[in-house]
Amino acid sequence: MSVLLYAVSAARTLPPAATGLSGRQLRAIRNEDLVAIIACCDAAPPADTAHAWAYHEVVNRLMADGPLLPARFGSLAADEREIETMLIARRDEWHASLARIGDRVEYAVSAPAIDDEDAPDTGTGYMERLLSRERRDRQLEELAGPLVRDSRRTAHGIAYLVERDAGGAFVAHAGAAGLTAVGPWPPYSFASAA
Amino acid sequence: MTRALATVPDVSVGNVALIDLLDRLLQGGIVIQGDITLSAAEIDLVKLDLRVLVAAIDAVSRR
Repeated sequence: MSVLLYAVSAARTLPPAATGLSGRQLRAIRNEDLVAIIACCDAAPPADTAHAWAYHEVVNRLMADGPLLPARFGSLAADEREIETMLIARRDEWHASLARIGDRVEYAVSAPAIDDEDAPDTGTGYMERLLSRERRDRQLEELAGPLVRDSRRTAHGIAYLVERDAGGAFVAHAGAAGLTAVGPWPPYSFASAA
Repeated sequence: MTRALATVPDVSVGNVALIDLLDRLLQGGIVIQGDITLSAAEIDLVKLDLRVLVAAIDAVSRR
């Protein structure tokens, strides 16, 4: 039976009743001081928003028990042995990522949604909007700089890696800069090396 | 120390958060080498699902 990978973290034991998608029991596969948190599954989860939210909730609950590297949605391995092999082969990389992220969480500052009524109808309007957004991003970086460990562009905005206890302050700084920060998220955008 | 993380954001930020969610779940996270099972077609389905949902929230909020 295939297994679905949810996260990799420092060695930990899971609560006995911890479940993943479809109520499947979560298990921790350990190799030395790392574990992969997995559950058996028959096939890849359907790619719809309900399953995406459900997956996120599973990872979020795991995150509440300590730092982890979330796996991309739909990370399916053939069997547990494949997961074990991976834990050995990518040990250094995942160690480094866990150390780099530490006990921090991610906040998303997205580009504002542009609906049809709101969309600029000229090239100049569009450029003005872009520049205004860049000004706000810079303002946020000035205000929140000391709270932010790292930032990365994502497909839809900018992700900030923030100290867990500083989330409220970061959201307030974003508001002051005219931006909306959504979080905390597990560090999806920072899990891979670069 | 409290470790509680936000649960699913409420509907007032729902469409923003959903875009953020998909941005993370489909583009971020650690990847099993060569084993991501979401095909391009399936990702398109998620995006379609998202558009339908955003349109539905718009429709409700404009009533």
